[in-house]
Amino acid sequence: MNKIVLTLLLGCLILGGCTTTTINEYRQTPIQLSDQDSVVILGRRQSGQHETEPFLIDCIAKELDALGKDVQIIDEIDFLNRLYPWFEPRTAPLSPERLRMLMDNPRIADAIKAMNLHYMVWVEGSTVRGDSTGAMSCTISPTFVGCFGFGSWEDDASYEIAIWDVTTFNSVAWLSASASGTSYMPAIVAPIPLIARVKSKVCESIADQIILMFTENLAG
Amino acid sequence: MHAAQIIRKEQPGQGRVTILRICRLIFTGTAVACLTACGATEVQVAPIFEFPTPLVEPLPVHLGVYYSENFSNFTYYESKDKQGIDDTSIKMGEAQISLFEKILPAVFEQVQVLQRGEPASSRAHLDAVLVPQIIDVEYAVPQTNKAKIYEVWIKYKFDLLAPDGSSIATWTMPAYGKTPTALLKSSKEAINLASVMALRDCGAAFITGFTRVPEVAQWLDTSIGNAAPAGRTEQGEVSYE
Repeated sequence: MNKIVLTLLLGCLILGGCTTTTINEYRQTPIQLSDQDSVVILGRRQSGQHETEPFLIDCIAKELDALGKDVQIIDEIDFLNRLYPWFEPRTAPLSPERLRMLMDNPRIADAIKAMNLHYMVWVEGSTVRGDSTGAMSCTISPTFVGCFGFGSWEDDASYEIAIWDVTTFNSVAWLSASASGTSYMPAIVAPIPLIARVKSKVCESIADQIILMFTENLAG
Repeated sequence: MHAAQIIRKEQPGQGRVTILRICRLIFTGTAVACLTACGATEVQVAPIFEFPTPLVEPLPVHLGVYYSENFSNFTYYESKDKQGIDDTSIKMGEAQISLFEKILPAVFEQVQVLQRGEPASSRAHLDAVLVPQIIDVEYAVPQTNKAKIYEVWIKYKFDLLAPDGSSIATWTMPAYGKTPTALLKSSKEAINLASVMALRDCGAAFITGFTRVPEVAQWLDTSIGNAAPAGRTEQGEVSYE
């Protein structure tokens, strides 16, 4: 019996750690990043259906620290506050051409220049929970506390990333990233969560691809 | 006399008694937690960050602003009958005063807060008086919108009056804020953050939309003799579906 339970748990552990990630990339023009440049990662939130999770933006920004200490990653909130109200969900430019029109405002242009901002990375998408199966029941009584059952659910992540060159007002690259993973929750007295790290995996994949694009032509 | 060594021996069945005691403690604690979680939800909207100073060129306008008592102490109350969740009250008067105190001095060259009962002479040097009001508030929680986010909509009405009290312009303006649930620990914190985001959106909407109100644009052109300020840019409209 113990061997069967251990085998089940091991199987769930192995399966629960599996997340498949797919990245597609398209580059329009070479990316030239110098070591004094800044990059900002921004989430698209322009409508009720477009809510890029702040967690993902923070995650990508932290991963991009690998670009090196001389390339500054500007914090999203800091950027939004310094340029308020021009990058709010209702006012953010939806295209490089709109960004050009925005930069006709000398105050906005000066603020962006002061940050040495070279590239804007726009991330749009979300992770949604798909079908879930299984059943679990928990009991709390004066003599016993525990849960029994089994549950599983699938998370699907889909994101599109656009990289804009702020100096030339061009879209220089485009990425799409998708990931899916299944999480399991067997419960034998205590629930044992075996969570597929879908968001973390897609964050790492996106960040790795961006780092690759930026560092290929990193100028000293 | 030898020192007595007292050896405590576990009595038979004492381990089971200990486990039963732990189970009872967990049961009691869980029951108390469930009971205390029921009841009304009261949210005092408190900005988790200071509202940022807008990056705009001030309009050459000396503006008076009057915050009514209702606006300053605004509380939205919704009974559980409406959405099937707890009674909820959202106090946002203080937070929205804080927002307008931040954005108005950036948008207008001079701003003076007017008090009730001030004589007309105190308004004589002003170009206009702004009176903001809230006319509607709606909110949605994950249990009702199935989107796993908290949303707050606030509808504002603004009256722009001449110093003599005659109307220059009247317009309404919606503001919207949302927040995902995953980040936050309680519905209170989530509603608070969604409300703060709605206020931030209100500021953005006011700043970018003020000069686009036709009557305001006409008044700026004729009375103040100034075209649209340098901060005005063309932005695409955003819809909240």
